[in-house]
Amino acid sequence: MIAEVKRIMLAEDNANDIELTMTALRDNHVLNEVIVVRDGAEALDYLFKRNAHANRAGGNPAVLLLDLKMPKVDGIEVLRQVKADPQLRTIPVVVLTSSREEQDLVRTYDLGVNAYVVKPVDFIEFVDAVKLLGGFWAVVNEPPPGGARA
Amino acid sequence: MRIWDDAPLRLKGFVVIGIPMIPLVITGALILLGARNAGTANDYMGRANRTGTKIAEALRLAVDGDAAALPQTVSELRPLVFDSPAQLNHVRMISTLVDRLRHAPAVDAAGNRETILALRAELGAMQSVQDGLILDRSAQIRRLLLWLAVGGAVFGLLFGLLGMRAFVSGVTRRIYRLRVDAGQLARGEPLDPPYEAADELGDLTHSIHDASRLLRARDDEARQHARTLADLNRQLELARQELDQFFSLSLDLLGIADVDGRFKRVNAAWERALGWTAAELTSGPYLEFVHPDDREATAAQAEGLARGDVTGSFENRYRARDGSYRWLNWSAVAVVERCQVYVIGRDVTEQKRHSAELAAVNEELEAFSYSVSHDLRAPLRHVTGFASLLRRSAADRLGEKDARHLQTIVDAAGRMGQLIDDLLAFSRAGRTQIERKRVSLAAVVRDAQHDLARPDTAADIAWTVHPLPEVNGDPALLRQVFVNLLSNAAKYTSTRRCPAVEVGVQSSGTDETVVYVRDNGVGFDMAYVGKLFGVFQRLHSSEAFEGTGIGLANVRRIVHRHGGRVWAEGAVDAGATFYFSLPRAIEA
Repeated sequence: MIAEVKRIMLAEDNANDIELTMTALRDNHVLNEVIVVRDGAEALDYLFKRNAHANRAGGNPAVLLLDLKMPKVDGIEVLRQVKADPQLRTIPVVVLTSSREEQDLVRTYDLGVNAYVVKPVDFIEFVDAVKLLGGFWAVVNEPPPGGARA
Repeated sequence: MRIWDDAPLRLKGFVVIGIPMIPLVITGALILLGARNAGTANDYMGRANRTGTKIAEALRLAVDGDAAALPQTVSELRPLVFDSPAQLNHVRMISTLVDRLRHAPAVDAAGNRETILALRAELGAMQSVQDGLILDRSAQIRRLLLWLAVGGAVFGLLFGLLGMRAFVSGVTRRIYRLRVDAGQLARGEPLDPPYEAADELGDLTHSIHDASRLLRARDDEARQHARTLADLNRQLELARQELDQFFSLSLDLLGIADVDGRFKRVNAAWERALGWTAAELTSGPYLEFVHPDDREATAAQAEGLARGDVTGSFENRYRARDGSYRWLNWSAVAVVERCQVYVIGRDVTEQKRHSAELAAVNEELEAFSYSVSHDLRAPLRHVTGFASLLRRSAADRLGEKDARHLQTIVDAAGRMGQLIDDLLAFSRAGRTQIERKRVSLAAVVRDAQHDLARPDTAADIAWTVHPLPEVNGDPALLRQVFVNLLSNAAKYTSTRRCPAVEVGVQSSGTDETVVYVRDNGVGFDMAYVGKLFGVFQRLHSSEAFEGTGIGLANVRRIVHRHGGRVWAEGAVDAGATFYFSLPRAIEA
């Protein structure tokens, strides 16, 4: 594994969900730095290094955890732009959503999503799902030099 | 007279002409004979004259007393009268007298005178006989000629009549009959039976009868054709009238257009639908009536039609007389070689409005359930999540009762999550398009067995799955039906020592397939059978058997959407059987 530990990016507008997700990641010893953006527009700014994030450091995140229902720009649009961009298209995108709506499934898979996880109501199941993602996409379970940042 | 009839015409002609010839020939022969007789008569007369001259010469000699020349003259007389015995007798007497005169002495003058007198008397007598003979002869010839003329005329007339009669009976009558035949032939009437004969007229009669038969057969044929033609014409006229009525009475907009974009004929429905008269609609290109936004698509359809495509269900907007636009749905086909397009249009404005309203309602419903799916579940997830966090972080400080309350909060939230899921599934089952195809029920049941709500209970069950047929239906929805029914069966047999579930098909009518799922579980009271398939209707408490009361409602909705029925039989503690039917006639 290459020395640089990449960041995990979480695009989520709901504070409760952010807290639950962060708790789950920590409980599972996922120690990557987690960048949290609160809406789709910010997510795109970060990814494309625009506006407020124009001067941010670092490359692409290791994985993008993407909520579908967000203010301003929704997760579908973020996904579309990410997968349409040659620089960003390789970022694994995991749609984390409470929706079981078939239309979302179809649309996100059409756009090239890497995983689609329905946020289980049961917290244990949610933790398992995140754990699966952590193991799957080479996120780090060892404390990196910088440590995790909320 | 058979022989006469059968005789060829030339023979008849010969006979008819020949019979009157017979007396003529005879008369001619007689006349010839008479002519020859006339020659004889001339000889006779010449001889008679010579006889007269000789007699006169002899008389002169006798008067002169020249006895020397007399014998010569008398000897010349003899051959001239050879045919008259009386004259020959006189010649003999004269010869005797001449001899006597020659031999008498010249002195006996008295005696000589007497002899000369006797000689003169004999010669005179001979002369008179000669004259009488000539007279008789002429009269005889005249009489003969008279008789010949009369006889020839009488017989000629007689034989002429005979020939005429033969001609009349053998030829004229039959020609008359032929004329009658020809008349009947000309008028197309049936001919009298033919007069059979072997001669040319008989042949002609046959020919005419043959011609008549042929012509009458042709006539019959022609009449038959004419009748058939008349029938066809009548049928054609009826068909045309029917078509005309169909065209003019049709509530649909019927029209015939040419390929360069003009209507040639439209029916009355157009005026009812759009307000334009037929004359107005046919006066210009129909594109002028089409909504500007639809013209391009309409022109493209028209081009396709001209190439031989068939327009199945094309929709565009037509301007009505009042300025509004009506949505029309078209079916059209072109007969390319006749350069004509036949179109059927239907005013679907109201349907379009209803569809739009329905689509709007559906869209709202869709948005609503989408929102329910996301927004209702998020707080629930937070309740569960933070309660779990709390339980973990405050485990030391919580009493047993507190821990139980906390668990109840988590359980309730989980149950509500399940309810939301089931309701959304139920809502989707009513809205999603049914995708019909051939489905193997056996495969669907196998899938459903793997997908039971509580897979752990299924392991103990004795499954009996009978051979199942293929049906027409939506595989995903049918799978839901079986997941629900099998999950139910598994759930309500879970308290049994030997749970058993049976799936099979009832042999019933040909128009539907009836599937049943039978279990030996706790069953139900038939008094409440009506509640089984209602939403949120339960016959058992949640404590006894968990569940939301959506499953069977979902089953019923899916089966109804397939055009089938659901029902159930059961008794308390004696198992239950759930049936559903799927119509076979549904098009795949």
